[in-house]
Amino acid sequence: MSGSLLKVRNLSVEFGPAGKGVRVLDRVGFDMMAGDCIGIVGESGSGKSVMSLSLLRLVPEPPGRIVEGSVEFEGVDLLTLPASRMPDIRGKDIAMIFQEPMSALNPVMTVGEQISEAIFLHESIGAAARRARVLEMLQLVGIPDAEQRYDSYPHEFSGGMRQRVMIAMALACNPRLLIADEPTTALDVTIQAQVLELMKQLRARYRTSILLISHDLGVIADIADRVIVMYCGRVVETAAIDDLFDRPAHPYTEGLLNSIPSRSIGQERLYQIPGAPPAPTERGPGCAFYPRCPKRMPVCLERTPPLLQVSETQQAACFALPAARP
Amino acid sequence: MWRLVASRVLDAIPTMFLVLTLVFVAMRLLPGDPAVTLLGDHATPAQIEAMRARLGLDVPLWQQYLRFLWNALTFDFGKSFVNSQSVAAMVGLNLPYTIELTIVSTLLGTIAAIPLGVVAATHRGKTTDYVTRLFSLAGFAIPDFYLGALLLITFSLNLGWFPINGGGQGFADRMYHVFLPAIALAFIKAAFVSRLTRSSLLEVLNKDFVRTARAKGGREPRVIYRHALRNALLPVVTGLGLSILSTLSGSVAIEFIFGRPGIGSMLITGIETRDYPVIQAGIVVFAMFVVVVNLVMDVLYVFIDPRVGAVR
Repeated sequence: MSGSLLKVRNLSVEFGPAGKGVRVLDRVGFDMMAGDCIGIVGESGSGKSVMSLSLLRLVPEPPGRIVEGSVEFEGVDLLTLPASRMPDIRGKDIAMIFQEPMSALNPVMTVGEQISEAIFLHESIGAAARRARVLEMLQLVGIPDAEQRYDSYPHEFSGGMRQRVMIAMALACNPRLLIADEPTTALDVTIQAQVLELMKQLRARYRTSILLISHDLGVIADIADRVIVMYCGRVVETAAIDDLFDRPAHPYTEGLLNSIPSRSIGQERLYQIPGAPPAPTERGPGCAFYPRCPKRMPVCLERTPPLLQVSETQQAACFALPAARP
Repeated sequence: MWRLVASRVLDAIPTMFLVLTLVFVAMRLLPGDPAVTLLGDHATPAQIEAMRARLGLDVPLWQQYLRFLWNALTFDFGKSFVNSQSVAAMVGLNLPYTIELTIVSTLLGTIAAIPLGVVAATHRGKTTDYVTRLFSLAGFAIPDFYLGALLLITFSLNLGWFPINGGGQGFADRMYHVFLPAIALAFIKAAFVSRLTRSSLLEVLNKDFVRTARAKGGREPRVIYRHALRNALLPVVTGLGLSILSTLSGSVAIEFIFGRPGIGSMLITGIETRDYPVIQAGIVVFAMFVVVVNLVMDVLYVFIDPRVGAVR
C-alpha cells in the first residue's frame, strides 16, 4: 500500500470578481500516499474547507474560482479534466463527508434511497443487489434494525446516526480517498468518539486513505499519521503527528498546541494566541501570522516564508527556523 | 399520515359552516325585500305575501337559517325564479365546465412555470433569466379578461382557429373549446408560479444536501430535478393553491367573455336577472371550491414533505 495517491501543487482559490478577488487559498501543496491518513488543522477561515471542496471542484462558482494549481489524483490532474468527467470521480474514487449531518442529507428522501443512489450513480447492479448492499453498509456503520431504518427519513435520526448514514453513503462505492470535513464537530463528545472509532475501523478494513479536516488537534491526533497545519489559506507546517506534538516548528503550531486545555497544576489560565487572524482582504505580502507572532522579524513583513525542510518528515514556513538562516 | 389527512378534512368542516353562515347573512343584508324586488313596485300586498311565503321569508330568521343550512347540506338550492329549473341541476350542469377550465389552466400554467423557474434559477443573472422575468412581468401586468378578449379576437374571430363560444361536446371537442380560455388564465399563473419556483429553488440550491448530491457524483440535471426541486416545491404548492383560487374569480370574467357555460357565467346571469337562489348557490359552490382546494394543498404537503406528517 504505497504509491502516490494525491499530489496537490500550488492550489489557489479566489472568491469575488476576477481581478479583484480575495485569495482564500494560496499555493497550497501536499502529497498523499495510498493508505495515508492526513489531518488538516487550522482555525475557522484558514481555508481548510475550501481546500477540501476544491479537490473535488465543488467550490461554488461564482463567487469562488480555482485560479491556479493542480490536483493530481492517481496521476490524473482533476483540475484540467473536463467538468463532465468530475461526477464519475466524485463518490466513486473520492468521497466526502461533511460537517453538518443535520443539513447534509436530503430531508425528503429516505436514507436508504440516498445511499442507494450513491451506488446507482457508479455501478450498474440491479435494485435488489443495491438494496442488499445498502443494508450491509447500514449494518457496517452500526445502525441497528437496518431493514426498518432503510425507509426512515433523516429527521427520524439523531445527529450521530445521520453522520453514520453519511459515512455509509460515502463508503458505499468503496472510494480510494475519503475526505472528511469536520465530521465530528457538530456531534456530542461521546458520539464524536464513536464516529472516530468507526472511521478508524473502516480505514483498517478497507484501507481507504483519509483526509481529515478539523480545527481540533485532539481529533486529528486520534486518527491521523501526518498533519498539515493551515493558516490564512497557506500551509505553514506539515509533520508526522508525533513530531508535531513533540517539536512544533512553526510559532503558530506552537500556539495551537499551547491552547489545548490541560490539567497541569499551576496553569490557571488557558493559553491563547494573542489577536485574531487578519481578514483575507488585509493580508500583506509578508507572513500572515506576523501580527500575532512572538518570533517576528522585519523580514517577515516583506516576504512570505517558503516551506522549509526541518527534518525528513517535517516542513515549516518560518524565517525564524535554523534552516532559514543563510 | 392518514390520520393527518383525516384531521385536515375535519378541520375543513367548521370553515364550511362559517362560510355558509356568511353567505346567509350577506343575502339577508341585501337592501330591499326580495319579494318586492322580484314582483316590481306595482305588486299588491297579497301578491307580495304569497311571494314571501314561496321564498320562505315568512318564518322567523333562525328557522330560515336552519332551513338554509339543511338545504345547503343536501344540495337543495330551490328553483330558479327565472325558469323554474332546479338550481342544483343547473349547478350540476355548469360545475364540470368550471372545474375543467380550472384544471386545464392550472396544468398549462404549471407545466410552463416550473421549467421556466428552473431555467431562470440555474441561469441566474444571465439573459435567459431576464427573458423569463420579462415574461412574468407581462403575465402580472396584463389582466386575464383583457388577454382573453385579445386571444378571442385574434385566434377565434380573425384567424378562425378556435371556436367563438360554447363548451363543446365530447372530450376532444371540450379540450378544443377550453384551450383559449385556459391559456388566458394560465398566463398569470405561469408568471406567478415561475417566479416562486425560481426564488425557492435558488434558496434550496445553496443547501448542504445539494452539495452532498454533487459530492456523491450526481450530475446537474439529477441534482436539480431530483434533489433540489422537490424541496423547492413546498412554497410553490402554497402559491399554486393561491393561484388556483384566483383562477376562480378570473373564470367569472373569462367564462363570460368566451360564452362558456360554467359557475361564473351562471352567477353573472343570476345577478343580471336577480335570481336569488342561483346567486346563493353560485357563491356557496365557489366557497366550497376554496375550502376543497385548500384541503387538497394541505394533503399534498404531507406527500411532498415527510416532515409535515411527522409533526403529530
